Amino acid sequence: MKFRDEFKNEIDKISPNEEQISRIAENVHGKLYSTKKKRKPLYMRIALGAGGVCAAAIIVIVGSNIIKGRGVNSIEQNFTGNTAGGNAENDLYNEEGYNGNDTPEGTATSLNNCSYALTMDSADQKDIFIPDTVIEFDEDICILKLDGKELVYRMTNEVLFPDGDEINVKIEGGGDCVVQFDEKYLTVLPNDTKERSYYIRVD
Amino acid sequence: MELSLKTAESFDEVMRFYTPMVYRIAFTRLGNPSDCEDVTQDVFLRYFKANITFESEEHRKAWLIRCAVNRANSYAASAWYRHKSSSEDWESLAENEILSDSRKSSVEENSERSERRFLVLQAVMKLPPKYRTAIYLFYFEDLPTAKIAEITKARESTVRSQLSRAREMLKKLLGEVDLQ
Repeated sequence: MKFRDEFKNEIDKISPNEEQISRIAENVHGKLYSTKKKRKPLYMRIALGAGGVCAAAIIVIVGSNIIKGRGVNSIEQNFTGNTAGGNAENDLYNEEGYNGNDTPEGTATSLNNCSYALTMDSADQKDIFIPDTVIEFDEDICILKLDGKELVYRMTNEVLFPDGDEINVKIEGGGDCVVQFDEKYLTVLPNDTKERSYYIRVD
Repeated sequence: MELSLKTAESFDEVMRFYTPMVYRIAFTRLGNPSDCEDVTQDVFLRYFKANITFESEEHRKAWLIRCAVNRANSYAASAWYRHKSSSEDWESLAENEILSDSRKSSVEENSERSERRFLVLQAVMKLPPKYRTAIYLFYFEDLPTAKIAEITKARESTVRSQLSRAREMLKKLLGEVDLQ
């Protein structure tokens, strides 16, 4: 018995077959040329604000950048939640005396750093978001954590509860709307007797 | 098939040519097909990212061997590897190879040979990991001890003593065997 020959023969059989080689090559290529971006750091803050005669705003902050604001219109004045947005921003930045920018352009206008604003017209309460202000992320989700619960906020309005990073939450009430978060829904309720609510559905 | 610097221009060519070698090095250390694939992928990722201009094909091969040995060692030292249990170990792989080989011709003709092969592989895989690498490079890649020492960054005397001890162990495990 010649060890060298036997060993060569046997270890040669251990060599990867064509299928394995192709799989390895494919995986290497996949890693080398992947265009998938890494998910942004998920340190976020969210502020829920409800202001004067307008309704409410939700601002999501990733790091130091506000990436999303959501405002709710006042029926009477057709403001788009900018006072509420301003109030919420005050809470986030501790800027006293800032009451938002009461312009009809919406929350995006009132928040200098707000790249995206989702506004809601309370006259059309079935739609949470105005379509042309859909948020775009590097990936299609951002993760929020409210009251210890984690939410994956998809741009389809779904909110899920998987793992996520910590988010500071501030809720500010007032005006003619209240914002509340319960186990199932994030809700913006006009402060009147009609049963109307805006919500982000939790799957 | 010979690969020269001229013919090995593309990354794909290099990868396809050297994947079996890298995989076998990983196998002698880890003994598990899935782990071997992981290590092989990692080696070629590093190869690509390193973007080294090699002086010769031998230089490239030596770099890949060195990288494969290092990556396999790192993988074996990882907590994941140390704590996992796998059903895809080398013995089941070897047995499958032997079975498929046996099916190709008569059972009588091959059973003895297959069993002997299995014993050779089994014996090698029973050696301490550092001996296995030396055995592989010496007996399969036909590298001289000086070259193995250069690649593994060990002294030549260390490589020689590793081979010597490995041979002694193999003799005990395999009985009479020509280990030259």
